[in-house]
Amino acid sequence: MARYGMLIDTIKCVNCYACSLACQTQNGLPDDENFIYFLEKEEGTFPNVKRDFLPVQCQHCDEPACEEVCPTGATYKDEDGIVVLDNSKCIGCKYCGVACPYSARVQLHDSMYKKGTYEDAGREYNYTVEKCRFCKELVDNGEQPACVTTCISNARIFGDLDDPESELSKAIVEKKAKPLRADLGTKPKIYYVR
Amino acid sequence: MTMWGMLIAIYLFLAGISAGSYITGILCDWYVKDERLIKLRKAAIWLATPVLGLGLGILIFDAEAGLFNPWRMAFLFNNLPFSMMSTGTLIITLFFFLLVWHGWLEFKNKFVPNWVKVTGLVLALGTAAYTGLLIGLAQVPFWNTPMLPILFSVSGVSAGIAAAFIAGVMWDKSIIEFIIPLKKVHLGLLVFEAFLLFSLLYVAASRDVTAAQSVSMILTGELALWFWGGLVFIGLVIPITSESIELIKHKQVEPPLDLNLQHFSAGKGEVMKLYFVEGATIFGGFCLRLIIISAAIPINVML
Repeated sequence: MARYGMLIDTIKCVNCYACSLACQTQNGLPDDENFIYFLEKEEGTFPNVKRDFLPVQCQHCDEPACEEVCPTGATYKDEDGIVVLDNSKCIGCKYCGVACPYSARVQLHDSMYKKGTYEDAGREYNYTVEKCRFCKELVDNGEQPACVTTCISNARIFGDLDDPESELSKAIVEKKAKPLRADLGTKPKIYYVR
Repeated sequence: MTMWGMLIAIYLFLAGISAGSYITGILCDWYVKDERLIKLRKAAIWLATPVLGLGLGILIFDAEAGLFNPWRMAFLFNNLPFSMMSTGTLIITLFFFLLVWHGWLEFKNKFVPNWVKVTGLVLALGTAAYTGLLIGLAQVPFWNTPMLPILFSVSGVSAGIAAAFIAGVMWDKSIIEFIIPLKKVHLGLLVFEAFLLFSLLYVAASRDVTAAQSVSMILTGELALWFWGGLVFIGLVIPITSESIELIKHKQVEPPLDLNLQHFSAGKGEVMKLYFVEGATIFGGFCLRLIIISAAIPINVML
C-alpha cells in the first residue's frame, strides 16, 4: 500500500522528449500517439521573453474525474493510488476523455499500427481509451516508470507520497512543488516545479 | 473539439427529438384534448421509437470498444448513479421499452393507462435533460453553465414537436387546422430557446477565459456560419417569424369549428410551408448540438 506520485521539475527539464519516447516504447504506442504531451507558453515582452514547457500526462488524481464518469467501472484506482484501466471492461465511450481536465486520455486501436509492438508490451488496444499507468508493470517489480529512468536531466522523481522520508516527499517540500490546477478539486498527484 | 465529435452531436439530437415527439403526443392528449388530433398523437408516439433506436445505435457505433466486444455493454450500469452515462443509459433504455409498449397499445387502439403516460412523460423529460447533463457535467468550461441542460431540453422538445408535426401532416393533411394550440406552445419554446442560448453565451463568456474562447469561436470564428446562418437564422428567426405571423392571422380569422376546412386552407402551399418551417426548426436543433459539441475547448492547465 503506497500512494504513488511524481515530481516534474520544469526548470531542470530541457524538453528533449526522451520521456515521451520511452513511454511509447514501454507501452508499444505508435509514433503519433502518446500518453505524455507538451504544452508551451511564451512569457514576457520582447526582448525579455522566455518559453515555458510543460510535460503533461495522467495526474493520477486521488479523486479522478475519469473514474467518476466511467459508466462501466473500467477506470479505477488501484491499491497504490495508480489510476488504471481494465481494458476488458472499456466500451470506448470516451466520457473519461471528455471529463479529464488534463486531457490525459488517448483512444487507441489496433488498425493504427503493427500489432506486434503492443503485444510485446502485454497490452490489447482495441478502441479502448488508454492512459499513463505509471508503468504499473515496472513499479510492481520495484522499478521506476520508464519516463523517470530515461530522463536525462533527472527532472522527474517518482515515489511514495505517504512516506515522508521518500526522495519525492522531501523534494516536493524543498522545491515547493505544486500540482497543476489544484483548484479543479481532483487532487492530482503529480507535482510541478515551475 | 474534445474526444466527442459529430456522432455524439447526432445522438444527443436524436434523443432530444424522440423525447420531444413523445411529449407532443402527451400534449395532444392532456393539453389540447382534441379528438381530431388522434393521428398526430399516434404519429408522434410512433416516431419517437425509431428515432430513439437510431440514436442508441449511433451511441453504440461511437463506442467502438463496445461495438467490437458487445458483451462489454453489460457493464454499462456498473457506475449507477454516479456516472451520467450509466444513469442516462438506464433512463433511455427504460424510455425505449416504454415507447415500444405505448406504441403497441396505440397500434392496437387499446386503452393507455394514465400511469403509462405519466411514466413516459417523466422518462421523456429525463431523456431530454440527460442530453444536456451528460456534457454539462464534463470538465469543459464552456459546458459548465446551468443553462445548458435547460437549453438542450427546450430545444429537444421544440425539435420533437416540429418532427411530430411533419410526421402527422404527412399522414393526414387535415390536422394542420387543429394544431394551433400546439403551435402556441412551440412558439413559446422557440422564444425561450433563443433567450437561453444568448444568456448561455453571455454567462460562459464572462465566467472563464477558455469558455470565452469557445464563445468567440461561435460568434465570430470558425463556427460563425453554423451559428448565425444555421442556428439563429434558419433554426430560430424563420420559425419564430413564421409561427408568429400564423398565430396573428389565425386570431383575425377564427374559422368555424364545425366546418371541415381542409380543402380550403390545408392546400399544398400550407403543407409545404409547414414542412419547410418545421424542417428549419429541426435543422436548427441539430446545429445547436453540433455547435455546442464543436466549440468545446479543454481546460487550460498551464495557468
